[in-house]
Amino acid sequence: MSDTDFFDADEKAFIDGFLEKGYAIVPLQERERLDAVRARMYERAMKQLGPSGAKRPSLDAFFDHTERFVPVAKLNDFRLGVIEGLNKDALLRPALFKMARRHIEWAIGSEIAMQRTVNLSIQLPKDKSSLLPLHSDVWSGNSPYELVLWTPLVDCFKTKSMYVLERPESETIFREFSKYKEFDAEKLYRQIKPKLVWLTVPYGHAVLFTHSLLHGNRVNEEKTTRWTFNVRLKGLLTPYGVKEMGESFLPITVRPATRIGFEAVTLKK
Amino acid sequence: MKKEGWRGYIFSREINGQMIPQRVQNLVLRNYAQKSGLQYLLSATEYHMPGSFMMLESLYPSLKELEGLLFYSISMLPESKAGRQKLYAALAKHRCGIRFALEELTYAKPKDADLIEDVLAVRKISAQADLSLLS
Repeated sequence: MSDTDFFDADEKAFIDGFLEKGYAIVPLQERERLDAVRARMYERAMKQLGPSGAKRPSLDAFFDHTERFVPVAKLNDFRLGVIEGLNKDALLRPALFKMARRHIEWAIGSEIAMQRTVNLSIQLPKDKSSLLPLHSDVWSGNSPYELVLWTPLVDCFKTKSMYVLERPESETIFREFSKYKEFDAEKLYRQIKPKLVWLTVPYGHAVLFTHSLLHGNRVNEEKTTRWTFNVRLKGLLTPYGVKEMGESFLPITVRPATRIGFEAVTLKK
Repeated sequence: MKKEGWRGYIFSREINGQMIPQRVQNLVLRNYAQKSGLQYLLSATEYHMPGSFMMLESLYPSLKELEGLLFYSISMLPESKAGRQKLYAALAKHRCGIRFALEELTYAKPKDADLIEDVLAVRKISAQADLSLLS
């Protein structure tokens, strides 16, 4: 690094890569936090499903083969039950943030607003009921200043993962949207399929991506279940879209200079 | 004196730039109260004149009989810091809270004002930028 640079070399490399592709797969720090989150999820799921003692599957068997314990017909009720418990877990949001903090701050900055609720996706093998068709969240009014932190609780690869259309190609579709406006999501998917990138994300890693990218998932054709968290983060003072400050986001890291500025602004009235 | 119920508080003017029908505001309050196990008391309706908080202020003497106030939105708090401090002081004096139904935020103790003040300040500052260039 030269003395005239402001970013460190590794930070600059991350920023350049993120600008180029619109996403990054990042290793999580303090991996024991993720193990603890997974263990709490497992206990919550066991409580909901009922098996006890010797009938309990091992933690790994449960996450990899959830289809053996939760039929597709009961998946959504099960998922909602787990989510309800999750969002009462005061440790979850801080844990997700702290594990990826370094790269979040490299991508966003140090003053951050975080979505109030963490979303959970469970995709059983061959299940067609939990699909997220190709979309860009910005097209439905979300702020383009938001990033998504997508954190798997299992190894994710091929159709057990998610796909993205990298930034230059996504921006081309956005610019030429009038050409596609008569398409449905499936037709658009087929059109851009050769350019999509399926993300390989081992347990202990997360994806940080701008939801202006076209992205989605397909039927999980692998042999094991996908479990992933997603939560949105953005610069505290950047513009908000349909997910507003207070309703959907809360400040998590406000610095003193900004707080002093807030005071100065509000004291004028 | 036994403290009982949460007094609704709605607006007859725009909230955060939008006109929300009073019926909708009341439906949201009733639904939130039911979901949260709160006893909902008929709403007081603020006057439509910009900057008026006369109805809110008229509720302060009754706080001694209430568990708290149930606002439709955090955006209905007094615009001036002095006005909000007066409200927080009245709540502290009578050991009352505020629930904001739309945002599902809670003011239960003086420390909770920090988050509410941060949310209001961020809304105010970030509102100066907009996303209109996208359309």
